[in-house]
Amino acid sequence: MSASHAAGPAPDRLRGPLTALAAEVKVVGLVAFLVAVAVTPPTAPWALAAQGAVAAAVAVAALVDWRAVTGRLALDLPLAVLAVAYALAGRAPHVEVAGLSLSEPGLRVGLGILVKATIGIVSVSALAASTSLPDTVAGLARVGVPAWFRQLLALSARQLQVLRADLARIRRAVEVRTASQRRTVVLAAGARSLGALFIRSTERAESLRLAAALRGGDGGPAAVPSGEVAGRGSRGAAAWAAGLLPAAVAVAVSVVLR
Amino acid sequence: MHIPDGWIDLPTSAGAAAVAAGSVGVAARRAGAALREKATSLPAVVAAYLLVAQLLVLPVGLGTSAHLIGAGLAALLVGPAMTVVCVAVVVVVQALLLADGGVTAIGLNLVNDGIIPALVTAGLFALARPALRGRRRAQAVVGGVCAGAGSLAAAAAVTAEFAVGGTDAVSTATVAASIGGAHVVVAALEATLTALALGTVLRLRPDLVRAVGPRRARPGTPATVSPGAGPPVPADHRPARDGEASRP
Repeated sequence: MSASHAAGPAPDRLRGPLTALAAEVKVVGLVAFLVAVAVTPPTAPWALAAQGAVAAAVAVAALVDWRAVTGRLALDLPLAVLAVAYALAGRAPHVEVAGLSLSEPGLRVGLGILVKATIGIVSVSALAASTSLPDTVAGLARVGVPAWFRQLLALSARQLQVLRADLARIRRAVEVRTASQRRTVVLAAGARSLGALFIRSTERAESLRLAAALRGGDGGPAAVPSGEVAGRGSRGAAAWAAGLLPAAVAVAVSVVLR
Repeated sequence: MHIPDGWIDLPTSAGAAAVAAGSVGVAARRAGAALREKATSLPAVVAAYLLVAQLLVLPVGLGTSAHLIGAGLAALLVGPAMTVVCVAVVVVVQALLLADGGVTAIGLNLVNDGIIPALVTAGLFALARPALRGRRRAQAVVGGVCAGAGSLAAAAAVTAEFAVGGTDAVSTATVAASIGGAHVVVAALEATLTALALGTVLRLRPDLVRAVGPRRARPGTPATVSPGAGPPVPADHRPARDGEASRP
């Protein structure tokens, strides 16, 4: 998970045009845009290219850190393998590309999946760069996401950072104390540290519960951020229009450039 | 790897999303007490645990690496209902915050990475449990085997989804063969990792493993979160305060 989703406000978050929009506008806009991209048939490469340009423009407006985007592109690697496999194993008709006989439909479908995933990575980075996680969770409340799910989302995102640090410490300790460098031994040590991590995390859940009980609560976790955090950003008709603009453009190009 | 957008057609994805949404509803009700009473600490920690467990990538040679899917392990540790709820959080976080897996494929990914492995693993283990008679080592090994079977069942589900709604550019037989071949390795790893992780928990805190806990416990109320339950914890295993650096 990228550092921009660390718990709490990120003081180094730049203020761009997208920061001014309310979180729920951006989340709904993102989902609408990604669904529009997903339903674009791979037989319309120009529509996909235009949608990619839209995603890039939004990312520029959101002042994304392109190094972070590049890091996330690692998720594309298995899909690139899939695209190659489809091109090699797909059905006829075949086309000659650089001396190789590749399946045209396989190539098209594989590349379509790859391009859609890349558009997804760029758009998600735009949301992450312009919205803090507490804002996102508070925004979900206003589009009807149930409270238990939001609470779960907020708390698990917070716990994620803690658990990652914990796992790194546990693994280092286990590896240092494991005499052998053989792969199977290291693998087993890694798996055992996962067991230790579970024990540690349930113990943490117990202590969170105790802390909440001490605060005088009902044993639940601290409330989902609300108040001034919940009210940040504009959510008028103009804001919704701006938020849904990428999705509208994506739908339009998929119809026009089919 | 999660299913990306465009790998399965929309009607199939929508069907899977409907199944997934219904299952999460049922699971949330079954995991009831823990969620209703707003005591979401445990499920949240489990969801975070699943995300972290998937980050622990282990090299397996030939330049490839594998990671735990974890739904089977979680089903043994906290029960299938809470696992499904937690995996729902995990796939939403992965699709919307990490761009791992397609937005239209959230339902498919929840079915494949959560519902099916959780139910198969927990179901098989419940069948095998009477024969194990409380032997820890046997429980860990059988738990691992059940998780491996859960992972194979998930592979079968992926293949079935492709047969129903996949592209016709590649023959289903080819895809089935490649998914099946890869998942024999994946399932073996899942079984090994689950057995080792489960063995560690069984050895140190057997009271935390729901699959070997008391039979008639109310669904979703793990004895583990009630302070005072379970055996006395050694001093250096006391829960660290949140944010405090805990010595491994």
